[in-house]
Amino acid sequence: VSDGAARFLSPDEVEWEGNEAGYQPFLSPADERAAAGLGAGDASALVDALADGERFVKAHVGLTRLSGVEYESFPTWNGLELALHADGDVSIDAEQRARLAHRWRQWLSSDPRPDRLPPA
Amino acid sequence: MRSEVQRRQSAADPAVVSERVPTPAPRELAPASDPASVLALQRGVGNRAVGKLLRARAGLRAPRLQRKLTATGDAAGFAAFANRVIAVQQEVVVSGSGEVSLRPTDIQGPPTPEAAELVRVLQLVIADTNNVSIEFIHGLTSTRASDARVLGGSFPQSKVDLDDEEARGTQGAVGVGMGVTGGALLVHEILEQYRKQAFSEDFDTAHAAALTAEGTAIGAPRGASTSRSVNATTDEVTTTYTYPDGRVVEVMWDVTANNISNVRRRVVRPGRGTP
Repeated sequence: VSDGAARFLSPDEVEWEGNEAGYQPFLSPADERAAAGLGAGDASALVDALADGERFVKAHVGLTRLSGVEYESFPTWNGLELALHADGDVSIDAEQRARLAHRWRQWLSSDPRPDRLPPA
Repeated sequence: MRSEVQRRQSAADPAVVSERVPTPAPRELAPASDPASVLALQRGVGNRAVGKLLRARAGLRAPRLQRKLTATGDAAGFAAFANRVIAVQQEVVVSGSGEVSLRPTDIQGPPTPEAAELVRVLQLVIADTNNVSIEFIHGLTSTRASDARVLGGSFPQSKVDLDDEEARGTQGAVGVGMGVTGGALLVHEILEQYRKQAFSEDFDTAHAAALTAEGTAIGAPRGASTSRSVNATTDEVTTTYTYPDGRVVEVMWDVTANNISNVRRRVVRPGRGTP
């Protein structure tokens, strides 16, 4: 794992908002600083982290920022399916991580890299 | 000895008895020898006594006023913006305690689509017995960390950012048929909170219903919407709207620190029949 990816993939969880655009992720201040320091060389490590059920959400958020791809915010957040409940709790099914990892690998191996994450 | 009326009350549906024995006003009380009057007096005094006892046991001094829609935060700012959206026929009034109501005005004229939809949604929420409370904030000047997470609105925090809605304007200002407006988004946020607070709906369900109402207010559904990072601090959001006559309008804005600015609109394709 690259240093940048290791710093970014700290145990701090991603928090989610629901707003007019749809879903929006929020990182802790430390993760925000780490995200700002991510570089192209960290992409492979983030894709590898998609296999980890505890870290795949943050890895997906980091890749979305790093790549600069256009993405939707609703009904999924750049392909990530989640549920924001009325009481504020968030549910995310970790089973989807393999699907996301496949899409990011496709994106990473494309030349030129597409503006959007390839479809599942 | 029980009277005939008292036996009916104890044996039959009390509501039926009540219809047959109307409660007279105190000054019109008949002589105490009239069985119907005695019963009415007994029931009236008894009901008041029971009510007083129940309120005392519950620690209440008087019946509570039921509020259906309550505006907190900058409630006056909400009313001012809503009334610029509505403009004719009705106006929003917010009481000192934040209770929102609508009242007719003598300003005539046809409402815009967003005005008609805002009035409809407000009437829906106000008429419902469930309480809905929304905090209206100003994201541009707020120093609360939680407000920095509000973009237009916040589903979990039950907030609406009036600055974000102001940035998109009203149909009275930008014109009908020019895509999303702040009025349409106010409709969206109020309905979304209503669905959450009254029916405990999750975001995906409440947001979908809010999008439908927003589409009615705009006159066109929200089409494809994309975000992209312009730089480290700013995202650019682009949304397209396709009207029933084929007109396509693109609306773009910048989002910096979750505040909206630099709203741009362009007609991508004129509608059929447009010169």
